[in-house]
Formats: sequence, structure tokens, C-alpha cells
Amino acid sequence: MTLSVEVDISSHRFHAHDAYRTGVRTLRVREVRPLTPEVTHFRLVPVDGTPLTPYQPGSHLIVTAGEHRNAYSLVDDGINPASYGISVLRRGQGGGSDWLHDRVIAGDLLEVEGPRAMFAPVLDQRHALLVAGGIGVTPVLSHARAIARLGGSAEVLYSYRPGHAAHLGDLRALADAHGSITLREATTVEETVALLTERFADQPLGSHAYACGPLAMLETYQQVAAAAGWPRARVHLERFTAPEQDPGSPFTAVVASTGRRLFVEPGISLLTALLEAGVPVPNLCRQGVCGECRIPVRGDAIEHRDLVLSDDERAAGDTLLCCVSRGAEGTEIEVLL
Amino acid sequence: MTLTEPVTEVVPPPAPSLPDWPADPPAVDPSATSYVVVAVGADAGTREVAGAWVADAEGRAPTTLVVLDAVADPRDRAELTEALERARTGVRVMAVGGQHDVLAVLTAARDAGAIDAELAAYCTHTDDLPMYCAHCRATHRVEARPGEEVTCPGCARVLEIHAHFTRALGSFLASDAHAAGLPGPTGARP
Ligand code: FES
Repeated sequence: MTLSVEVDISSHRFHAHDAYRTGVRTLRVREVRPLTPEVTHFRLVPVDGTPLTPYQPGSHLIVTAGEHRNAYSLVDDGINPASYGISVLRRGQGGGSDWLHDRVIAGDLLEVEGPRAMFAPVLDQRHALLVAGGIGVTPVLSHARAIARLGGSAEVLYSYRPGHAAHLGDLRALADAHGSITLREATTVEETVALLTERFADQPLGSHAYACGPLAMLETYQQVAAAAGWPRARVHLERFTAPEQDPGSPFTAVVASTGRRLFVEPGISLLTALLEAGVPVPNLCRQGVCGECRIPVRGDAIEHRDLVLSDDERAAGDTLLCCVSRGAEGTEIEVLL
Repeated sequence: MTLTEPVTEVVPPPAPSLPDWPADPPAVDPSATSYVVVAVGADAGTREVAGAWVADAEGRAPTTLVVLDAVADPRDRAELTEALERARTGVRVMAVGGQHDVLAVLTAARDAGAIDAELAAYCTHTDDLPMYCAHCRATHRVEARPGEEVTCPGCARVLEIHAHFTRALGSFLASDAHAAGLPGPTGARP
């Protein structure tokens, strides 16, 4: 007897328990709470009481906000969560964040995906220096809460404009409740630079540093860390905006599965070229920050322009983030899709 | 590369996990903001290397010189531990001495949280090594090289030292050299 069963694995859940779900699904907004004039906190809970997937500190949740899909850092420790909390800055540019501010009230349903970990702690760290600028406080708060819960130690530096500091009360309460967590605050650029310089010079051996904030602050953070003698492997950061990219050079991409050759012009990303040729590639931020569009490739002349890959990963040359990275002028890249 | 070229499979060379010592003392890393130089043993070569490192390092950033007779000595050990506990991230730890002692210092530094980018080492000789006996489960100093047989100072078994160094234990793995010829579980052990 032959038994033939067709199984569609695209919808198969390899981890059957609900606490492993990270695919697209609907959550209910339990609470909408303004934190500052521009930042609103959203608490999301399961629609049917099923458990939520735990996450690594610093993870983000992808939220469908009107016509946009945006990634927002989760603010809790990630251990056995009963709800997901995100804090959203109104950007005033009519994007997804504005949509969440304007349209969403408690009781609404939102489509989400994830959590995804792109900014996880190094597991054997002895101590953490956590640096937050503005709304960059959200993943930093997550790291601090997880460290406090797991009994580690951390120093938090929070740079903010007075009256616009989301989660400042949460950080102060955390530091009050845990002797191993300290909080230092700065409200001007000069104070922030001075504080970074002072604190980078005095962290125990085995520390790792994590920062999230505006580009200018992250630049300073990296410079101060290097001047303080910190090896790159100890200095981590998450960007929520990317620098402008120049259009890049023309090159050819060869799709390995079909042998099809795609000529990629300046100003057109490899991602766009692949999508237009019908090659599906998951993507999200399209500015080299989120890591979603990483694809396997082969080629000797890759211009990496993302903010995701480490130096080692770049040197390996077997993967790239196709929304921003491309082949050097006139070269050929084999796309292993 | 083009698709018409034949794809040759690259088989990586076997990578035995042996320490890869530099032929010459490594240079002082100029990006550090402090240095801990650890010299173990009194031989002239060790003193010379440590002296050159300190002379260079002192001109760049605060430098601590730790001179030990033997890493196994509790007092010496305490001095090393204290220097590592005082160290701040930004430090570079540089160790010089015989292979056994250098590996012991590097292991202590890793235990204290240091990563490879923060460590430099130079061996004046490789005549001895820290050996982890799989049977008595302890690390001993022996004068031998990987592949050779020694009598375990702990349990007196004849051990073969394998070409496998484990960082977690800071030791070379060694196991009973004649285990294959021993009688089975029902037989009496010699
Ligand atoms: S889509 Fe986000 S890195 Fe490419």
C-alpha cells in the first residue's frame, strides 16, 4: 500500500506551542498611554489568551501601521511576557508612527510579526554600559530590565531633552530597586560627551557597551569607546535611522537557481532588481538597518553599505544586505537564491 | 567569478586546536588605555621581553608589571587576580614566560572577562604545558609535548597528551594511553 500525503510546509509550525509564534498574527491593544508630548506607549496582548513568545532583550516587533510596516523595540525584559510594550515617537512625517498615534485606541487589533533579536546582549558579559539617546531608550530599558531580573550589573547613561524623556521614571525606579543598576543622566550634548568619556574610562574588565540613539550620538559613542581602548567586539549599537546612500555603481547579479542575469543600474537597489525579476526576498527597512534582506551571495567585489554585518561577516563575503549593498562597478555577483 | 567556471569544493584544512604562538614578542597595542604586563619565571628571556613591553607601554598609558615566580603559588596567584580585578575595560594584558605559565595567565585573564583582542602573549619555551587528565579530572604541569606519553602526576596512569587545547580549562586534554588494550568492564583492571 502506498500512502501519499501532501503537506504544505509553508504554513507548518515547527514549534507547535503558541509560545514560539513569531509569524504574522493579530494582537489586541490593551492600553495606549502618552509618556511625553511626542511618545506614546502601546501595550499589546494576545487576542485569545495564548502565551506570547519570549524575546532577547533589545528585540523588536514589526507592526503593521496603516500602509507601513515598522520595527519597534520591545521595552520589557522579554522573560515570559504577558504583554508586549512598545513606545512610539511621533515623527510628524505621516509615516507609520503617526498613524499609530492618530488611529489606534485601546481595544483595537494590530497585525504584528516577530519578535526579532538584532541587538541582543553578549551572553557572557560581566557588566554592561547601556547608553540611550532620546527614543533610543526603548531597547536600553529592555536590556536594563533583563539584567536587573537576572541579577547582573549595569550602568545606564540616558541623554534626553528635559520634559521629553520617555521611560525616565522607569529607569529611575529600576536603579532605586536594584543596587547593581546605576543611572546617570545628561541633558545637553556637552554633558553627554563628558559623561560618556568619564564612564567609558571606568568599567570593569569584561564589560560590553550597548547604545541606541540618534546618529550623531552613536558616532560620538563609538569615538569615545575607541579612545577609551575598548575593542570593537565590546561596542554594540542599534540605529533607528540610516545615513543617506549615494546611488552606487552599475553591476550584474546572476540568480543561481535560474541563471538569469540582472543588470542593476545606479540608483536601483539589488533588492528592487530581485523583486522586479520575481525573486522573493523578505525586506523591511530598506535602509540597511534591520537585517531582514540578508541573502547568500558569491562574489569578490561586494560594496557593503549596511549597518548590520560585523567586520568578520563582511570579510567572509558570502552574504550581503541587498537593500543597500551592491557589487563594485562593472562586476558580477552571484546571488544564491 | 562567472557561472561557467567549475565549482571546486574547498575542504578546509584540519584545524587542531593548538595554541599558535608568535615567533617574536608581539608589539604593544597602542589603542589601550592601560596595560598589565605579567612575567612568570626568572629567566633572562622573560625578563628581557617584559622589560621591553613595560618600557614601551609606560610611555603610552598607565602600566602595571606583575612578576610571579609560579602561577600555582597561592600568593602569586592572588597578586595576579588582584591586578586583573583592578583592571578596567580598555586594558591589554600581556603575558610572557614558559608555555605552561603563559597559558595559565591567559586562562586567568579570560576567567576575569578578557577577550582575545585584549590579550597578547609570548612563550620563551614550549617545553612544558598544562595537561588536563580526563581520569583524575585535574590540570597538572608536565614537561612534555602533545602526542607524547607521560605519567599523570595526579593518578599515576600513563596518559597520552592529545593535540587538543581547550580554552575553557586552559589545558591540553590527556587520556589513558593504553585504554584501548584494557580488559572490558567485566575484567579486572590492572
Ligand atoms: S531591508 Fe532592512 S537591512 Fe535590508
